[in-house]
Amino acid sequence: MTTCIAVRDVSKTYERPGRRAEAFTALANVSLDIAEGEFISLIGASGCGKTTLLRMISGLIPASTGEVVINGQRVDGVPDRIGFVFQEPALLPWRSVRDNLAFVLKRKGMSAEQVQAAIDDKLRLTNLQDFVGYYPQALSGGMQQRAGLARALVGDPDVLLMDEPLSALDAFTRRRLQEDIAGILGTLGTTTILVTHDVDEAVFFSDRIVVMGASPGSVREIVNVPLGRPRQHAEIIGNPEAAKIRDHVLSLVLDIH
Amino acid sequence: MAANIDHVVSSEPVGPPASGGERARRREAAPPARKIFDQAALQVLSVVVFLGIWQIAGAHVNPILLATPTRVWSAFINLIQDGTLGPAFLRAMEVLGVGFAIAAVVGIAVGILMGRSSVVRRILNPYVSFFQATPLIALTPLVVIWTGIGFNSEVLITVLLGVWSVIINTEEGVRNTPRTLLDMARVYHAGELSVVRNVAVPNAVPYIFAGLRIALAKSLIGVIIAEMDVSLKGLGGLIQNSGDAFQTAPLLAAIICSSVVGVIGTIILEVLRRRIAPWAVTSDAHTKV
Repeated sequence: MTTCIAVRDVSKTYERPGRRAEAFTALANVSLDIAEGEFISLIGASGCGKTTLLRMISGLIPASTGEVVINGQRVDGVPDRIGFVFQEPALLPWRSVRDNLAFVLKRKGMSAEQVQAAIDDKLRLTNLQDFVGYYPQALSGGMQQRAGLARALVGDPDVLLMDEPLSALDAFTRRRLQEDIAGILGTLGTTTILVTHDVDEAVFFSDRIVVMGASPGSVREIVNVPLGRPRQHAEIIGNPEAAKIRDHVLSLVLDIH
Repeated sequence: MAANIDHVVSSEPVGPPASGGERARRREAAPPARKIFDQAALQVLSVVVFLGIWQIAGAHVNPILLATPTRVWSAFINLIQDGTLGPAFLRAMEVLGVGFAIAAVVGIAVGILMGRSSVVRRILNPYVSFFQATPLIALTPLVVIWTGIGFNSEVLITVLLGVWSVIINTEEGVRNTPRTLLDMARVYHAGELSVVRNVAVPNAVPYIFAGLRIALAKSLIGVIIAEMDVSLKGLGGLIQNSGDAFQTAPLLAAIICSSVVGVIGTIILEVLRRRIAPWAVTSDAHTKV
């Protein structure tokens, strides 16, 4: 399988100008290879640098040392064809769902018909086709996140990055959306990195789970999840292999030996 | 794909309504007629009581100190009939309209620049802070020296009084654009112009309107004082002259007229706000005087 994302010996240090305290190291020497079509979760307690790593891969923040290479191109600023789903939906409240998606397609030189087709396609995929003209305030949290996902996918990105997209939702909405997202990504096959603090979520989605530790942020262990994708909660519940993986990841995250 | 859809909060799209009919349907069931009648009746009653107290107080006091509502009303009619009040009122509205519009356009533009660029902010901040703190009415003689007496100088005074509130509140609104929305715009490669137009300015609209409301009040002060001190024209002139002659009835009539100018301006502003930014929830917490 081709490597889509190569994280090479990446560190992130924050200087503290004018303070006597030492610089703060958020991440130290992280290396990771992610194959095309893979679904990777970054998991760990607060302060382990998982969000920092995600933002460096997205180009939103620069690495202090090392580099990130996506499809052969070094990441310097935000690369083309990245989709990002934020923790809060980050939809523009003054635009309809349709216009929020159109916002992403503005710079792509597509014709009006192409834009409309792409939007309709992704709204159908996320089951929002009846809410095209709605404004974000009229949608529930779950639907807003669906719209955020539709927006992330509407430009046909090479890489999808998600930063705890479901953590603000109630448990039932979260589980329903997890299955929907797993189904969508199963169809599209987009290389995906998910940051989550929920071990069950990581086991549900991932091909591999990258367990990170803090002080300084680094990769503790990478756990394989050799279960077929896309998964349903019905298969995971009561599955002994899934349970074993879950327990192992949980003990790593909680530092239980 | 899960069959049941997440709960939808409202059954209609919320946003700029396409027609009055849509807007009317979205309104909750109107409160019972009796309740509306009671509220209106209470307000009318309180105004009647106020006028009554005023009338009684005025009758027992030296007429120079306080003119009764009936005398103010007759003065009002007289001023309309002899052709004084009409042109004065229109002139005040004109000066306010032009001055306020200039203050709004300049203020919003500068506010956006200062909000988006830390360099611009650092350069302009000392001047904005200085003028914000200055009793701007003190600049009136300077304005007269520069532009003489007349429409232009009144407009300039109006602008000078109003523009700072617009600048400061606009800058505040632009700077308060949520970090997540700015990150989102970066991830999807929005250029600076696109960020300003689609993210920063719409976010700043409640702040901008708060600033405009304050600027309107300050500009109106500018108009009246410019007319009182400088041109002795219009409503301000009427106020000054009536005051000088101890004619309290026309004085009060002119003062009330000035308030009407302000109220009309405020209503126009509110109508504009509802059309431009129906999503915006204005709160006085945004206000920076």
